[in-house]
Amino acid sequence: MGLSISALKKQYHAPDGSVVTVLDVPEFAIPSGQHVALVGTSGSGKTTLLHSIAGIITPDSGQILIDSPADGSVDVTQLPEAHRDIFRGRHIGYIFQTHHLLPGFTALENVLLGMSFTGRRADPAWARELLGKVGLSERLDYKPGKLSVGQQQRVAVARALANKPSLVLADEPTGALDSETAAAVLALIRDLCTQVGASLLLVTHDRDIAGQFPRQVDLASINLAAKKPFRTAQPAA
Amino acid sequence: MNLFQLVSKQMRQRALSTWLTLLSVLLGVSLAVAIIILRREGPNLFGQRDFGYDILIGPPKGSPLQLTLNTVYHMDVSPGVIPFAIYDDMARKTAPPPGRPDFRPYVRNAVPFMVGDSYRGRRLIGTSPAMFGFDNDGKPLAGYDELGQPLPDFVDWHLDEDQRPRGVPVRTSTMEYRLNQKYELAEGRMFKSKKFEAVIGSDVASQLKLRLYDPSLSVEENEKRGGAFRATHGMPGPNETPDVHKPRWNVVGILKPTHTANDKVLFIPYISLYAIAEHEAGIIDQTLLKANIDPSRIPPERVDEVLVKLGIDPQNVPESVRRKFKLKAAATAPAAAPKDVDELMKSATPPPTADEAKHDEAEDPDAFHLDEKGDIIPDLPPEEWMLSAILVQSRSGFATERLKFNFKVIDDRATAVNPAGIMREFFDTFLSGTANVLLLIAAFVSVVAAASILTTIYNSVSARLREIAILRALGATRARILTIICTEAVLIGLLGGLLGIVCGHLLSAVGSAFLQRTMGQPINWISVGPLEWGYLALVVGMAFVAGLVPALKAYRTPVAENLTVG
Repeated sequence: MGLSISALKKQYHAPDGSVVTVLDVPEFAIPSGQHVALVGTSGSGKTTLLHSIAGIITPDSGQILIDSPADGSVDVTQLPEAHRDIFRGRHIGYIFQTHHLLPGFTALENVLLGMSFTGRRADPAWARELLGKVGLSERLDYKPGKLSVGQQQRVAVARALANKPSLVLADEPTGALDSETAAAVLALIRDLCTQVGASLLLVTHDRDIAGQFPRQVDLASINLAAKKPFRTAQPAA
Repeated sequence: MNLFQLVSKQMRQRALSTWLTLLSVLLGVSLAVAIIILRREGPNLFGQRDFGYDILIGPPKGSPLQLTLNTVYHMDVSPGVIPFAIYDDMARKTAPPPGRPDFRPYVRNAVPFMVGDSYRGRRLIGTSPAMFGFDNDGKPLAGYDELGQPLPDFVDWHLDEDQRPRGVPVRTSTMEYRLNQKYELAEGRMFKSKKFEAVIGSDVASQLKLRLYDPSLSVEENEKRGGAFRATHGMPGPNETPDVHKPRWNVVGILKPTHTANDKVLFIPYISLYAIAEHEAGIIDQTLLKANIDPSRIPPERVDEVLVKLGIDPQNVPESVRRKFKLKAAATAPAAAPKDVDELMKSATPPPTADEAKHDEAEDPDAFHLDEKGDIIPDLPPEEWMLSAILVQSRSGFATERLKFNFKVIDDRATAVNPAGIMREFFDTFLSGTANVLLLIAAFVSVVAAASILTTIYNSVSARLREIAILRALGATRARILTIICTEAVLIGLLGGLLGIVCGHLLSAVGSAFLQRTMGQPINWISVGPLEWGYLALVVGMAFVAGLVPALKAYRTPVAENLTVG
């Protein structure tokens, strides 16, 4: 199994003191190598779910098991923060809605940066190859400001795949692109994930994009909080 | 991409603020380093302890510091004179005549030292060839060559007797300008003790364009070309009429650089100073000139009265000078001399014009004659000879102390001081304190520089929260982020500190050149002392602490929040 989630819960304190539950996922799994589109409306907890899986935020309870070639199945919720960060760097690729490239770094350096926090030696040849695969072999030394939005997102895709992750999380990766570019980028993501054997969980609100995936999951069907976000008067423990 | 590539990339990204911060560190450190060097070199410069002599014998009036500054650094005015007879006693290598003290157990070498005249602003020092390790005929002592360099086939005289190999001759002990460093000639030869000859310091030769006397040219031609010179009485100020002495000294030798104030002076035989007719009379003439009095109008019988009125002790005026003075006055005595001295002063005439002065000078009789060997025999009798000081190389530390504490008992006409002790005291009480205050200021500047690091990096972190969040999302741990920010601060501190050390040394090089020009003694501005490395470590430490504040802000950056912003 590439990703397995069980009894996952995440709550926030609202400014008025009440507690908002944004994630309540009893069960969700993605088999290794599978590409899944997770569809949800704005505010349905898509990004929170991805951040929880990536270990960027810590859920209040539950289990998130991710398969990694080296360590087997790892529950990221049980890892200390520093280990979680390193695990994320090594085994999870993250593609943001906006590219989130570092403006002072070239395309190649941005991809190399993705390799810098794994504790392993960076592989410039693979970084170049990846940029070649996304059609930017002529733009290696271009800084993000000199690239089009589509090209920036391609660099972000290459960066996410730089460490040959076992799981790629994509948060509305085509949200800022026109439909033609969006289709090309989406194809690229799926193609590269297939090449490196990574599972892909892409969240989108666009049913057309989701339609291109072999498996589509409505977030509301797995996140009980998304069906009916509710507030409690009691503060969370 | 390793840590340093990442940090340097980010620093280059904000090049202007990085350089400005670096500059503030650089300024603080360079100031501190220059002060550290001044503090370190101060004792070498003013608190020199490795003198080649231990004791200065000088007049009891004036301060020991004045005597030391005048004798060692050729600064300030001479505190007065001492009888030449004291030098006779101290330099004597044979048993003293009855009634005279025996200094032989205490004194290894003693040389005379007489100041008062100058040449184009550089002081003339009257001394003997013994100052440089030569005999009175200018011949090298046993163990040295013609230039005064030690010959290899001799044993160093500094070695204790039990350490000297047997059967090897021992080099004659000589006066040294610093411990184990004796004067050597770069070219020419040593002056003879009774000739109008001079050996000049290296700086004098290069700055005043003086050169060796060329015997194929006339004296006048040599004077024009810098092979001979005439001395000026005292050190006249810019608006004073220089009193140029009649005799000419031929430059016969140029010393190698000693990197002391001695490079800036001209050495002449002390006897030649007693052969100057204008010498003592010149003092009186100058005083009269300042008071606007024409000496030719003073009646011979009232000369003493005028001298007292002008603050000159008639008892201190040598008979030969008095004779000349009175002769001059008697030859032009007016028909009716004024009765009152003040009246005499009122009736003063303006100073002579340059032509008149030249005319007077031409009429001056020589105050010496030459014997059959051409040696100077001053008219001034030896019992009237005076010296400014005597440089004494004692036989041991014990001898130094004995001389220092007991000299006044032996001869109350002079006092003995230890120049090293005087300069150490001077440095400790004045220079050291000043340097400490300056160092404190430099430390404050460095603290301000550290605050500037803090501000710059803090602002940079505030502007880069999203970038930091991206790095975290890519797998950078909090500790890694902390390290990146602290490394940036430390790098700014280290680079600024290192550049500051370089600039501080360059600043000191400028100071050294200035000191070389004014005192003839540079400072060692090249070597980097442990205190400077310590200061660099302190600056880097401060930079690290300054970096910690923004680093902790970066450390606490909430990733999810900052990833969704913008």
